[in-house]
Amino acid sequence: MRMRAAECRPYGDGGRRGAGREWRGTALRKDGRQDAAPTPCDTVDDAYVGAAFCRPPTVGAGQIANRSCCHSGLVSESKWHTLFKRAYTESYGLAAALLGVGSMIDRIWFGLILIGTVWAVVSGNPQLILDTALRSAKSAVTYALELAGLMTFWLGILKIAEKSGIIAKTAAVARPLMGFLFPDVPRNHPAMGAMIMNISASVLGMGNAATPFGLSAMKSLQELNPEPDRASGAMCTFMAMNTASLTLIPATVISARSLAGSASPGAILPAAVLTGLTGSVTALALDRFFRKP
Amino acid sequence: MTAQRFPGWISEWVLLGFLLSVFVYGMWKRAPIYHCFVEGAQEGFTQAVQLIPYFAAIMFPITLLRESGAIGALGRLLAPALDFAGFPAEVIPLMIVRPLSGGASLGVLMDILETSGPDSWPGWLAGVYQGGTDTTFFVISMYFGSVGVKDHRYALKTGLLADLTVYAAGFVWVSLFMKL
Repeated sequence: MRMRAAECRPYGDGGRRGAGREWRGTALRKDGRQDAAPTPCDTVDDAYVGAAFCRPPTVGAGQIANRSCCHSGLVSESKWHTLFKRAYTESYGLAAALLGVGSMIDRIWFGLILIGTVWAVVSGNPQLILDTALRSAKSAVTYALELAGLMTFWLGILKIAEKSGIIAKTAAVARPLMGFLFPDVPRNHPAMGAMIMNISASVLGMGNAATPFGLSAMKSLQELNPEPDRASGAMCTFMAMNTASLTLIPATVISARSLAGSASPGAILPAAVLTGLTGSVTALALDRFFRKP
Repeated sequence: MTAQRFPGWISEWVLLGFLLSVFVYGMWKRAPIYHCFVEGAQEGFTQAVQLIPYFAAIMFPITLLRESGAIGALGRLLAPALDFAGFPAEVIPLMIVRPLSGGASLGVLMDILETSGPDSWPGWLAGVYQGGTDTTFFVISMYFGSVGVKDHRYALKTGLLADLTVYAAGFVWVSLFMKL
């Protein structure tokens, strides 16, 4: 984290131009706000994970240990002893730094690779590591291209649904419920319309169509927010609905199942919908519970 | 334990009904359905191609963990708890990755479906976990970041607790449906 901030500096003023794009996860603007410009890969989603959840830099434990070691000059340590001690403390600092730096996804990815590598070496087949690396990259491309075939079809269908106004029809059904969930938002406020469209689109499985509505809903909710730095109650409820998104047609999962040769790819639908429903209801209940009166 | 026919044909009819009604409704509303389809299909293809780097990134550690036997060892380590509930250890990596990245968790799902089979118990559970929740960290940081809200209050807590509920609820619903 500290290292990255330093490396951002050559771009000028702490990331106003360019740096935000270079270090998507960690770049902060001068005023401390997260740089939230949509990145080129905004359909897929690791980019923002780091922005909000990075930790302050970890001070290498080695530096502190070294200093205290220098002060204890009474015992004349041998050269090798000092070197060994230094290597030990430095490596301790390195390990601490490795676990302390980076965004959440960096740390989890690194952790998974580390465990896998160590396990492969310990269990006696280190050749597995390189072998897996090459094979998995190949199967990543195969999977994605196979998925492409089915996703072209599903997103084509969903685009017809979107353009012929099925989202708007669903919105009419959702309106009374939304009035109940968002008592702070006036019924005819633009925020309400955008939120209804967002929820309707994501219920129909159109994640792509839902995001722009969601962003404009947040913008309108911010206008109603008395404290711009702090999330309003309505925003938190809207987030609860979005993080536990209920989807009636989980098109991607169905496609993935049919690719893997399922006898009945759609069979999962009732279980998935009921699970999503349970999750959404719980999220809304938790939201009500956490909100201070 | 494999799925019986009952829930299978119902959801297939639901999907077919949805598909046909989209075409019919589109024609009825005079929407240019052919051009809409082509436009959406283009987006779908682009999206799938954009998934390649995410798949490549996550398939490496996941395949390594599985083939080196680390996941099996995790299963044996947690065996008392897992066996008691009948929970498959293969699904645990998906549960870790799911709130962080949609692309990565889809990669893990494809791997589970490929190795355990789509109609198996872990295959169903993984599918339900992928379909029943969204990428909590991403959604929260994107939406709040877009308007410059710094204090997220309890939003992350709510989202993650809801994810845990989804994991528990998915387990219950899948075991119910697989017994039908």
